[in-house]
Amino acid sequence: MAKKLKEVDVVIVGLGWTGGILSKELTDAGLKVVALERGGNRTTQDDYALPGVRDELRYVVRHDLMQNTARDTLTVRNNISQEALPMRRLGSFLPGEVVGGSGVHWSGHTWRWTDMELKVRSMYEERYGKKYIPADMTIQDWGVSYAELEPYYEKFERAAAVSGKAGNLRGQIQEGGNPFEAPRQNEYALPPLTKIHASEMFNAAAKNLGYHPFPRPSANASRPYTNQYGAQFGACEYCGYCQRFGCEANAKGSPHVAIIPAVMKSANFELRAHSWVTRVIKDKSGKRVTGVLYINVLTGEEFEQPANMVILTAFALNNVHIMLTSGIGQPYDPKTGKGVIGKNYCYQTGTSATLFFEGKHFNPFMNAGGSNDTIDDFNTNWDFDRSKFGYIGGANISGGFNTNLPIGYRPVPRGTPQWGREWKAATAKWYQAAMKIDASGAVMANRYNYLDLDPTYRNAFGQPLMRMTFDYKENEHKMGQHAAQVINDIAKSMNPTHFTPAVARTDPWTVVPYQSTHNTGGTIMGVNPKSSAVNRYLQSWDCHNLFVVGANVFAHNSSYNPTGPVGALAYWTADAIRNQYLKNPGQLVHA
Amino acid sequence: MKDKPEGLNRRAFLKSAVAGGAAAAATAATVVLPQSAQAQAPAQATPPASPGYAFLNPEEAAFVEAMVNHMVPADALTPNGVDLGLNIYIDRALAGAWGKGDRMYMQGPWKQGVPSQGYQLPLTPAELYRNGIAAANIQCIKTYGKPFDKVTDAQREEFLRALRDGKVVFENGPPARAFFNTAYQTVMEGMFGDPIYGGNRDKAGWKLIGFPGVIAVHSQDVVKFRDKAYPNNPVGIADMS
Amino acid sequence: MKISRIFSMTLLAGFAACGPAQAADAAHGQKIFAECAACHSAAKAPSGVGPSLYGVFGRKAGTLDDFRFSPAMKRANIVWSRETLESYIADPQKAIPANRMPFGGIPDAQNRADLLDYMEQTFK
Repeated sequence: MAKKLKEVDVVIVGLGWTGGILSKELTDAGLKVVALERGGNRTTQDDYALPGVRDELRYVVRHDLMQNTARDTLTVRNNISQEALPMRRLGSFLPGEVVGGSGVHWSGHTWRWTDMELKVRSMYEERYGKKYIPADMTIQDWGVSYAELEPYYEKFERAAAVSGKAGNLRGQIQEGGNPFEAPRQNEYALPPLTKIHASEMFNAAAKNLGYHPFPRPSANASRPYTNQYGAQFGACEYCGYCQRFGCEANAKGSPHVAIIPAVMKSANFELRAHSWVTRVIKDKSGKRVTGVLYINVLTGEEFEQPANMVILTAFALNNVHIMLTSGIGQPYDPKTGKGVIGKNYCYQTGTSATLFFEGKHFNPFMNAGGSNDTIDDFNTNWDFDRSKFGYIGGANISGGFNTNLPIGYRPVPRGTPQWGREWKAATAKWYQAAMKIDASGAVMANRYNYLDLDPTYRNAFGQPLMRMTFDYKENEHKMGQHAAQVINDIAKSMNPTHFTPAVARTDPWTVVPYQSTHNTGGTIMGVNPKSSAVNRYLQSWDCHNLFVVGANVFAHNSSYNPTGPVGALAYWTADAIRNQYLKNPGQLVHA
Repeated sequence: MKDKPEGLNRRAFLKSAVAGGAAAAATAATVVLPQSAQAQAPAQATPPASPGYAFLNPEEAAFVEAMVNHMVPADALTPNGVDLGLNIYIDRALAGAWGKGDRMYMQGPWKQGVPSQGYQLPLTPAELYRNGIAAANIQCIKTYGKPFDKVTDAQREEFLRALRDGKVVFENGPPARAFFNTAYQTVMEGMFGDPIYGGNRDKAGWKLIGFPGVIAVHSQDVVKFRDKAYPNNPVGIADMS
Repeated sequence: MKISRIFSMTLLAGFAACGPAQAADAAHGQKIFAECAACHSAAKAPSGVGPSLYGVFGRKAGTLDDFRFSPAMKRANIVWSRETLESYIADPQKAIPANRMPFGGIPDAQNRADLLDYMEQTFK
């Protein structure tokens, strides 16, 4: 029997970026907030300090900062005719499990998704006609516009110490930035990072072909910086250990640096680490939630934490899992297309080429999380005519390095043996002399890609695992072919000594190796309770005092990293709660 | 100069403390743990001929030593796999939490599934290794009349390629390819991971490619060494500890 | 011993480099201190990611009670002065190899002089 605790105003489930932002905003509004976090509380001085943090085996190979699949995982399959089996160890994606969440180990890439995504169906229908969108492609408008989110994007970029170069300031195209971005009111918080040599070469080659290269905006402080919460950032050391690691110099925009310390100062706030929320409790009417059930994973004790308001901020996949185990909202059924919880799960796709330049010294161990240059000519560029290629969405293409450590990164030309003297000589020769050009591609929502509860497998708490049914469809294959072509053309123009070309993937999605932690959808936002799980303020259509914040609300996935809109939507939701909901608790949108 | 006595004192203290501890242990019980014996000798230039195995039995040790020496032979670039400590890395990894299935979801039912569903064997990495070596030696004896560590270099090469390409089938054993993939991955981990885990001895794997290790304060270097060779003098976790 | 020798060599190099830099500017130094401030407090406050610098002049390196120093720093056997700090900040890994401070250094002698002016004014 769960021990019932004293009621609080707000319970926050998961303390990463979204949980940190909502905790800060709501404690500032005078509410008593309790944050429940599965993981432990790690700090820069004790846990991300030199030299221990610089350990590829511990952090990259053994996933020290990530969720433990022995306790909870997902089952996976490519289509509904297969039997889903458990992902027995992490691979394709790596959700974090510490205070700070995945925001501790991310690379910091921070993008503003534009109306091309937020109004995806209406814009494509208008330009290419209704028939251009395949019948099974369940893309829909998100119910919010770029103009509405713009100030919140900026607020997040300032909190996270994002370095970059504006490409469009209030409608004026800026030299050196991304000319295809939506208009920004202000420059980035910090100037761009120093270009590494591979980025310079990619930049020159892309420009030469008429493309528009620019430095990737990233939450890696290019200079010392103090954000709006008084958090002090050191300047990035280009240490080459960004992705999968905590930052020892507090130069990466991570929640445990940027915002959580400011929340911890509030008397209204309490953090309970090692607290695993199993479900949200509904009242008899089914229109309100009354709190959450959680387990202290250090003692095994179960608690009920009553609350006036529950906010799920536990990473996209976990948020959806909790919604499913709580029985809130109708689970999605791909056969009928009815139901909303689990709908429109999306992922990302990609391809890359490796270029070898005899005699070069790229020093691939010297880079920031986002020190590569990139082009959006086939991504946010709305003028790019997709009908020639027959796809929707696009791919962001970049050249340079981002965390290439030697257990995982030792490029050799094709045909090199995998072991022995010849392998060793080639490894020694090419390690310093290779660079990559990568594409990250969007995944459009599809009727048959979804999340639900697995009928067979259970987690350590006796709950059904979540089941992921996902595969790439025709749209991704066409986009991949085009992206590979663009990459290979750029690569060839650079005249490398050897070159391993990019190849569009045609094989099914697989749980190994690592691909991206950009899992989206499952409780999507929208304008209609029949086709979305939460409204434009991320408020549950079913229970008005439940908000679900994270990439789980994305109605589809773009080629961009999700954290920009995740942060912006967290601030947007906080604003709606503070300025609308608290004054008049109830449904903020009447559909 | 003044730090010298302090440093010496500290080392001397550690040495005597550990020696006392080991002696006490020896009187209390007949077994002296190998790490006590190891700790007893202060870090000297010459490591013991073999640090000993915590997991591998003699047959398995012979297999692993033959494998790492074959995959990483001695030449002008590096010493051989055993001299790099790759066998020791593998042994410790299998004896430790990873080998025992730490962080793996190990609940049934167990089904093979399709390749895109990833690893589905009911075996921990240590169990896969153990049964994989046994099965590989049976295959080797069938094909060449000798276990893996006793065959010729050319036969070993042929056998490893056949394992990699899925051309070997283990009867009543784990899938040969799953065993090979795990074995290969651990060789690379041993060669390029931090030396604190027993492999990459003397940071020879890092020196091979010019990877600087853990120091990595490159805010100035990123400009200074643009398209220039960076000094090849890697630093490991132990060097900073 | 090896460490001390490298340190003294760097120290001399540091003196030579800062020779021409004269009119130091503490106000500018305060701006330079931003490079340190994410980890080091300038006020009388507990240590954070790095040791507090309050009272650093005259302190033996690696001896502050509320901070866990690297063995390299504890072994360094130096007392912080304008000169030793100047040399250390120029290239920390060269001055005290294997110390744990994740900072690449301040290569510009004038910037270091300004910073030390500010530090002297603030912490002395």
